[in-house]
Amino acid sequence: METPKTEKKQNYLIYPYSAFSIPLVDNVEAANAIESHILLAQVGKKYKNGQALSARHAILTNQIWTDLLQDKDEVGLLLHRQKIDLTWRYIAGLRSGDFKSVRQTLQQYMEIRDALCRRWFSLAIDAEENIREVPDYAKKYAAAAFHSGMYKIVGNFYKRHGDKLRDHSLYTWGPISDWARKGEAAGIVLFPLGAGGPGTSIVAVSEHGTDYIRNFFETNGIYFFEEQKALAAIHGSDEYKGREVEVKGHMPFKIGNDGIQLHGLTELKRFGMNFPEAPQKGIFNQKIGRARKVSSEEIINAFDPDLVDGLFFATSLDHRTGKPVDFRQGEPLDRSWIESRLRMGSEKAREILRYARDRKIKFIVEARLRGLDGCGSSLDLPAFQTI
Amino acid sequence: MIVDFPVTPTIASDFPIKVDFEVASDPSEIIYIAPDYGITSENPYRAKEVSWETHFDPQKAASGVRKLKNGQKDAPIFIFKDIFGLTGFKITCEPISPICLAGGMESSNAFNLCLLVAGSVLSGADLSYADIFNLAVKLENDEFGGSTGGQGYLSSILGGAYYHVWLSGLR
Repeated sequence: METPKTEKKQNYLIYPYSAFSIPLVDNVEAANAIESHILLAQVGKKYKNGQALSARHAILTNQIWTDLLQDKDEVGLLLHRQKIDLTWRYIAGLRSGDFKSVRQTLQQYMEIRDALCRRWFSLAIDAEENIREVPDYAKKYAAAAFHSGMYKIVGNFYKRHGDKLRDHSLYTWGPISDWARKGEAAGIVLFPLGAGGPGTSIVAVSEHGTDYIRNFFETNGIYFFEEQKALAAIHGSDEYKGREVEVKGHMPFKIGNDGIQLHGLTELKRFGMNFPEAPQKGIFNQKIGRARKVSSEEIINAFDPDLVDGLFFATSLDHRTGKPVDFRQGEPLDRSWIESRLRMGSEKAREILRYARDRKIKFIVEARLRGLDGCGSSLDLPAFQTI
Repeated sequence: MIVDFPVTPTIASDFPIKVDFEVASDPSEIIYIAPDYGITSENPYRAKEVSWETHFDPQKAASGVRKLKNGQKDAPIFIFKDIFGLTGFKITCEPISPICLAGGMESSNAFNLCLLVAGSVLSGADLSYADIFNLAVKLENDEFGGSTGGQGYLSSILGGAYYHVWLSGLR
């Protein structure tokens, strides 16, 4: 099955949202090399009585980045486009074990993300203060930040920082910004995960290896992450009652090789419960820019440089329409296809789990959390697939 | 060429999220326990239906998209009852490492993935992982009011280290 064509309507994705996944490393040595150049860290998140003292604003940060993309802002689009090449260089660095290149590309990616935030702030402030001529979408940003409450965090920051807000970034907001500068000077990139923001976890990467990174942290007062102490602070245990506690520390980054697991299902399969179908083997044909599934009998020319092996996340065909299923974003959820497939009601499912309980079989779904995204983070946002 | 497409590499951590599914005594409700988020077994979140609000994004609200009022807290009742027609279950999200609670490691992605997989299996809907991935990203961006792509889901489904090519892209 070829990948279906995309079409755009009101900036919303009308495409069976799918991906083609390719192994990044294919041997133990390469995986070990990643683990020996990365540490996971928390540079400081404050809690009091079990409450975090700084709010996260990852959704807003993602929205700001996406705004510039969707509005085709001249500066924003240029910055976004640079991220694509940078990500491919980052992948090449990880695959070849060139961690100097990995560090440098991460550093540049982080700087681009900061530049995008600053660009959005500047457009909004210029529009609000009528400083210079701005595109129409900048007025929309100003209205959202200063008058509607939609992006009220930005408005609050503006009250606090005034025009200097132009120099700030939501992504590296707060102490992360100082740490990032300190790290860069020492040849270490400190990259906030996800969309960053106050208190988010970071990864620290350097070609000098984990001992060097650990020494950097410990010289600067960040020691091994103590889970029990952190839990006590996060849950507001009596030990810390009424006190402000800062959770911080570093720890090794370990790759979780297991995919999602469904414990107990093998024992329950005879009642008609099935494992979900895994993504199928596929090839991406570079000549035509399309991916397709391959059957187990199909012989692929391994020497054809245009063909790339991977796993194709192609949705099922809807038996009613013959087209791939697509839960369309930006539209009300249509669950009619799911409804047409339901084979077991609540009572039947409860009966199976009662059977399991009586035999001490636990039905548990276990998955690994994504550890590192790095360069390429946010390129998975739907807006990137519609332009 | 493949390098013309946007791509996101992911490396799964060895931090697991485990979600336990059991029978609840009341067949009409979903009981949700997540001690890390203050929802304890002594005081679980019990729900028989979800409540909605208009989406904060006017474009989405105009197109009829609704957002869950309680956000992630309503994910178990919404996914089980509204999507898969299932009630009468107790769903427990076991504690995760505190460094993951700070954010940035897509823990809500992984939790929603576990719910969707279990709902699909228990209801016999038998969605594939590709279907679940497609549905999960839609739910997170609309009904849960987030702004996300699908990297966290793919990383949790596959584990290990991959790079994901998004099949139509910028340029």
